[in-house]
Amino acid sequence: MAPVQIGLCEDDADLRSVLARALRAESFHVRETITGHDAVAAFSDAPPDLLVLDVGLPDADGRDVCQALRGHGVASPVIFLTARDALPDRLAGFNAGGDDYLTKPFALAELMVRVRALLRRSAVATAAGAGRSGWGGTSHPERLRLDPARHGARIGTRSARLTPTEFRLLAALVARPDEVVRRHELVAAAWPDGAIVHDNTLDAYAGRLRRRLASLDATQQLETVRGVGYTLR
Amino acid sequence: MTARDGRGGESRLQRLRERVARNLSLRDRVTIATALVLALGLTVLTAGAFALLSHQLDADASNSLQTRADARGATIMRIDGRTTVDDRSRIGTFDEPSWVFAANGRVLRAPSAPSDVDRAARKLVSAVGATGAVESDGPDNIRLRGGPVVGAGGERIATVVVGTSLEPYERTEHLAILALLALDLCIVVLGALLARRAVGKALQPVADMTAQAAEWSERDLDRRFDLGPPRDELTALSATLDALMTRVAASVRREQRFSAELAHELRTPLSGVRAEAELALGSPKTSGEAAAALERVLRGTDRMEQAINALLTAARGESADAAARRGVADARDAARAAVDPAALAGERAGVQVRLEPEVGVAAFRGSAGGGGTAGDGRGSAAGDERSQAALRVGAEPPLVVQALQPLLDNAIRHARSTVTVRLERDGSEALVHVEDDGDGIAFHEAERVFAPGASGSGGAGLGLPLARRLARSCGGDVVAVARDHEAGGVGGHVVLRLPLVA
Repeated sequence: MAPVQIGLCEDDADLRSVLARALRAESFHVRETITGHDAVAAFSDAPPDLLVLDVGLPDADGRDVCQALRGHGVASPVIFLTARDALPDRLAGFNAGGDDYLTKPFALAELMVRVRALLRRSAVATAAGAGRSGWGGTSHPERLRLDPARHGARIGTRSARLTPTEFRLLAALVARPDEVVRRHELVAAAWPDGAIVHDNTLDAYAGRLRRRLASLDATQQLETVRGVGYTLR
Repeated sequence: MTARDGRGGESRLQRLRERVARNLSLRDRVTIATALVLALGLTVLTAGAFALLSHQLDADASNSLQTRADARGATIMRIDGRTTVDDRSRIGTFDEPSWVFAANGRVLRAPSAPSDVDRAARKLVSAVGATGAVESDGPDNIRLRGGPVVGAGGERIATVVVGTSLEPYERTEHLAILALLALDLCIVVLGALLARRAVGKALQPVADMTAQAAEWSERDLDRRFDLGPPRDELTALSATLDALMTRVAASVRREQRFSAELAHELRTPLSGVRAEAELALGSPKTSGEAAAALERVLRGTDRMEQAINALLTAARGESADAAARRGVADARDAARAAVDPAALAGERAGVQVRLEPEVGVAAFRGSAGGGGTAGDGRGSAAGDERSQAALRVGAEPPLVVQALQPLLDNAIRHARSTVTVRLERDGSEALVHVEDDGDGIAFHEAERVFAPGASGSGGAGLGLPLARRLARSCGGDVVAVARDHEAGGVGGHVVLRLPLVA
């Protein structure tokens, strides 16, 4: 049986090194990355079994990295490591597609327990549903790639720069293709916790996303499901 | 004496005026000023108009008298050395009284007038000169005019006296003055109302801004008045305030970002240190001595974590987190929560840390109070009653604990053998006394110890300033009691004051 792979993205060299050693001591196979860009490049095509992401990366927000990975079809559980412990920060982590949240400084033992718990659960989920694959899956010829460092989107050779809000909206939609994503889920994913977002604001952003997708020659259409939300088909 | 009284009265008046001015709104003041100015102007105008009218009526009365006197005079002629009055040719009206006297004073014609008027008319004759006419206001509000009637030869042949009642003129005058006063009143009232309305309308944006600003909490960094580009005084004010709020919001955001970055910068390396220590502790190769050292490292990271948390709590409490201020804690529970770990730390340093039961509570709680002896005897019945209520203070429990911890750490560092924590209720505040038996704080140092970096022994000098910041963020304070002030007492004494809530 292949060893369980853990993807690690942490910019602090000391912390990254000790975490990698600690995880290896538990006989996990650890793939280390330093920046958000590296993490998306390394983990999109070959997702590890679990991801440990720092939120405060030098080039991107770890939560945007997570959203980009989700948009690329990575369904592996994600644990965020963060120095910010305020409630809005924690909520934003989960809204970005995270599964767990550890505030620095944490006890190593706690990280290990959480890693194992998430792996156990995802193993059950994978066995039951055989996982879910977004467009990021290698099977898709014209896959949409998201770059959290530049808040960019790319299809083939065409690329577009998005605003952070557009980026997060698109990532939330791309992560669940052919599914209706509810309005409140989109708002939670794209705006900070507690932000008051009017319906027509969200609609305006959807209109902008449609134009962005058109400029990328995307084959997908952003469809409005009246009164419920939006879906990418 | 009187002079002083006068001055006293004057200052009383001034005080009254100041009080009225303070209690009146701007709108009321403008309204009153407008009414006063209008009233003053109208008084002058009315007085002038009245004088003019009165003069005019007077002239009218004289004119009418003259016309009648002339008409009467025309009826008198001298025939054969005799003066006769021809009543047949009635020119004008003789309904009003008229007298004709012969040159020698004999009465030729007299009306049926009241006797006093008649007397006045006769008296007037003597005053009439050779050519000039004389007027005089007689009794019964009648004006009399006496004039000579001159014959063809230029000699005076008779004297005519005519009278007219001034009553109609006075009636006109009274009516006019009444009408003027009524008009004045209308103008003043209308003017005041208009001024009030205009001021109210002009100040409406201010009222709106006041209501708006009252709704905003310190968390609403993005709220603005937004009255558009500055066109007048108020829009200029709103634009200036908006700009100010933008700057304040930017500075608050900068501070929040700074504390978040600070937390990140400190917590990430701390995580590394902690993880290294834990990893090494878990390894079978680590010897007993190294393990003990690593345990100390871990305890150190715990303390650093607490310090970071306290710093963050202070930053949030001062910048935005109103919720932290609205929390309620039991000062007694918080003190216990802070004293328990401090007692362990004190043990290592050879210092005993004890929480004395509150005055009056020891007897009530019996043995639960533990080793408290100082308070036992002093508890009066009233004290018991008051102390039964919990010492509920308006602050989040962790904030109270975090404010108390540096005080305890400080006391343990300076104590020789004992640190005593005492709770007290003082009016609207709960006091937590932290006393040690060390050297104490000199009078001139009582404030200096709260300056960041001022540490006497060992500490980083951040504890007391942090405790004070935390206490002040919830409306309390931390003060040092100088050694000189304590009656016979020795040692350090720092008090955490927290506002009590009902």
